[in-house]
Amino acid sequence: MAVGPLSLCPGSVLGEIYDVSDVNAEKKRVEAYMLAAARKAGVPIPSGETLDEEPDFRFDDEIPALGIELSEVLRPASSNHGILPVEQESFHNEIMTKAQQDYYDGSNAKPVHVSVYFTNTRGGKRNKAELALALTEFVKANVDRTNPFVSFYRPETPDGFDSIFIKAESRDWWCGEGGGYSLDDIRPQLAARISSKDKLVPTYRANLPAGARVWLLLYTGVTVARSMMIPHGIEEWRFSFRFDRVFWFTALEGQFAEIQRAAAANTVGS
Amino acid sequence: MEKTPQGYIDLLKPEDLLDFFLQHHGDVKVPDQTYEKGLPPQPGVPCPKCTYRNLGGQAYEISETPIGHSFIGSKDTCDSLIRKSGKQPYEINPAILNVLIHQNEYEEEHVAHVAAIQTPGIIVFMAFNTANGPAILSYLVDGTHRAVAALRAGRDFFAYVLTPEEALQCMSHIDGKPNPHFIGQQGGVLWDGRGSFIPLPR
Repeated sequence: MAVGPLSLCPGSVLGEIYDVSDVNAEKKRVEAYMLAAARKAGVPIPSGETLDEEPDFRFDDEIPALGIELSEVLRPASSNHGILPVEQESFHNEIMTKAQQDYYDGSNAKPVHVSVYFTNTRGGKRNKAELALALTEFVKANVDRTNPFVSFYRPETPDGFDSIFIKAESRDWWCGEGGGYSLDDIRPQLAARISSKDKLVPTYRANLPAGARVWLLLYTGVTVARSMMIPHGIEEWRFSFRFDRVFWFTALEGQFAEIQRAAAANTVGS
Repeated sequence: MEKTPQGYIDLLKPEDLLDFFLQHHGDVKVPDQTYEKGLPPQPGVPCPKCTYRNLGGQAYEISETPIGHSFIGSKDTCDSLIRKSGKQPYEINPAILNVLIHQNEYEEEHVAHVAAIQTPGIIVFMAFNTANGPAILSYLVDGTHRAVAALRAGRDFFAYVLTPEEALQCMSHIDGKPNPHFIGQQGGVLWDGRGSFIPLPR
């Protein structure tokens, strides 16, 4: 990919601050961005962080010292008939990649762009190879109908596809994700993320100077499969944790909430 | 670069145009666009951008410039020119992107829908004569929602850059009249982005 003289991007928070060349580079890049974005949104995170592990960031210049662990809050499987939306998205993307590759592997394949919405299987399993083959064959059979595009909807589409759009242009094939979530999906997901990290609080404390504070920053991404909004009334929710403070930042809206601690006798997610 | 006609005419390469923009973006005070909200969803109406995507057809971008000119750009023609010329995308400085997003309207609900797509956008540079001399303008004609998503996700955003000469060939109408330099196919109507079609002058 050609990069012009603006490639250094002085406005970019990342890449200049941290050496992110290891295998976890993308995860660390995202976490570093989320930390900076949450701070910009108003979470009282001081500046001067150092990239670390367990916890992810440490602030040794703070008195007392501070460590912040990050964890992503995803749209849960409960919102999608038991299938994690990010896994479904990945499954769909693999089908699109294979179908596109198989289409162009054929002789004299005309350049086309294909957009697809898959049928919601409501938790049912589908065969990746079969869906890819069905899409490839369907596109081959209908490519000559593009003028410059042609759209198909159920029941014209093969089983497993709600809509297929074919356009005579050279661009990577694409599929859209759908779905939603309810209030009932959010609380257990928050509880699960807090609980999984809460087990490690003693480790975080052991890795920081004595008396250091340990915070948890939950964050949510921006795609359909990943994003969730902070619900109205979250200030009334209570969770048990040993972190000194817990925050939840949603990157799509740029909003945050401080998660309230339950009384010691209560269970996580009560 | 001095603000002379010759100075602007010398900006023939995308990297020179972007560099010029970067030097001068501070001339326009624009608030941080990362969490400026786009147009709100219409109750009971599905995402208009996704709906339009499935309808297909030529997409146009209409822009009113701050210097009293207007143009209608054909994204398909931009796409076609980019493919034929073998252009490569540029990483766009966030400061430039902030100004470009500020100029455009977008649907808030559509940001998440395209957040996973990293197809480069399209930036056009346009040159106009004004009473005060030549002026150069820049617009993001494709990729606004992806650009907002990239800002919010902390990702770099890439875009193809069309020079004024190239951009002129992709504008179907300028100041309400058909552009004789347009190399695409003239459309009959312009979709307003929210469900209505506007007839285009012939």
